[in-house]
Amino acid sequence: MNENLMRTLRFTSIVNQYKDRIFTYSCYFLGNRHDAEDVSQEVLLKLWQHLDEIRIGSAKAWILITTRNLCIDFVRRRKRRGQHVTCSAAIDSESEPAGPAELSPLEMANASSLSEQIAKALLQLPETQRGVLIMREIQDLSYHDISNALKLPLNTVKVYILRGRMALREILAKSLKAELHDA
Amino acid sequence: MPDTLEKPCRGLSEQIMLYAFNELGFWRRRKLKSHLRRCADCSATYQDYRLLNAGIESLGKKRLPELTLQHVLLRTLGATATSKSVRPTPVVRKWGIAVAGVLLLLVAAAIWQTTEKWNHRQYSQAEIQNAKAEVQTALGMVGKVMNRTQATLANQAVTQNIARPVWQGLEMALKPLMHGG
Repeated sequence: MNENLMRTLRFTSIVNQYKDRIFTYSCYFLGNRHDAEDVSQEVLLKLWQHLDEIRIGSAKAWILITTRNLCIDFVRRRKRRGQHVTCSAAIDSESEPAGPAELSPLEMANASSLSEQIAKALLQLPETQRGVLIMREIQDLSYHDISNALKLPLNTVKVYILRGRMALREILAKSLKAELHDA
Repeated sequence: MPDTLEKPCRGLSEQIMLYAFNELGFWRRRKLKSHLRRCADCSATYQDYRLLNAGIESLGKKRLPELTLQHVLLRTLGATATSKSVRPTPVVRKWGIAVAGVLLLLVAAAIWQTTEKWNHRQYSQAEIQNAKAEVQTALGMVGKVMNRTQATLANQAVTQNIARPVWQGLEMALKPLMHGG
């Protein structure tokens, strides 16, 4: 079969498989839908450029690490330009509903209002913790997958996730406290 | 989630969190469950993490907008499609040949017209005289060349028809003498 055709087929198959994963990660990491679109586009273009260097079966790891690196680069560029991180209100539009199991309707309502606060709280976490948490909690990756993809020891991944969750809990408690104080 | 954080019992913070996120093993879970029934602070911490887990789960996954995807495909697959050398279809090839033929005919017609004009040019007497003189010189030269050619050919004929057989005869006659001697 023609070499170009094979390349095209491989590219489209990887894109179809991971495009939403890339976008989800970028969205929650950057807190802005528009920036996430830019980064996702950058990742996919990079994928096309480096497709021949990516071994079969390692595309997932390559995509995860590239998305994470490009998101970090984007945040640093944004900081250099003096723009501050804002959580876009449009971040939750067009998202797939993912109802948590074993929750009462009241808890579900609480959770949906909480999700906005969590999205904001995520942006306050250090980049390493934020990235790993998004992979674990939102992208449903196993500890092992994250460790393999980011080439980090398994225990480091566990510690990042642990600390990230603790930090999220603290940030949310603080924001609730501030809301109550304002009210 | 309360505005102040309850502190769980020492060493249980991690386990409570893992339990809330469904990552705790069976036996530890059993042990922790019984503890949570007795300890209010640990129970409150567990509720916090449970709510956090629910909130995170409700965040959901995002879909890459179609427009962005199309843009990417255009810049990758589209770019390669345009960069490829386009092979003409038979119809295009036929038309190309026809157009080239017409162009050739036009060029030939243009050349023919200019030479025609050149042919119908009016010459002065002096030019005609010069041309006659040149033609006569040329004819003279051609005559000389023809004479020389004739002489050369005649020499060749002598060599071929007379000299060579004589030489061959002599060779034949002298052969026994040369070998025998």
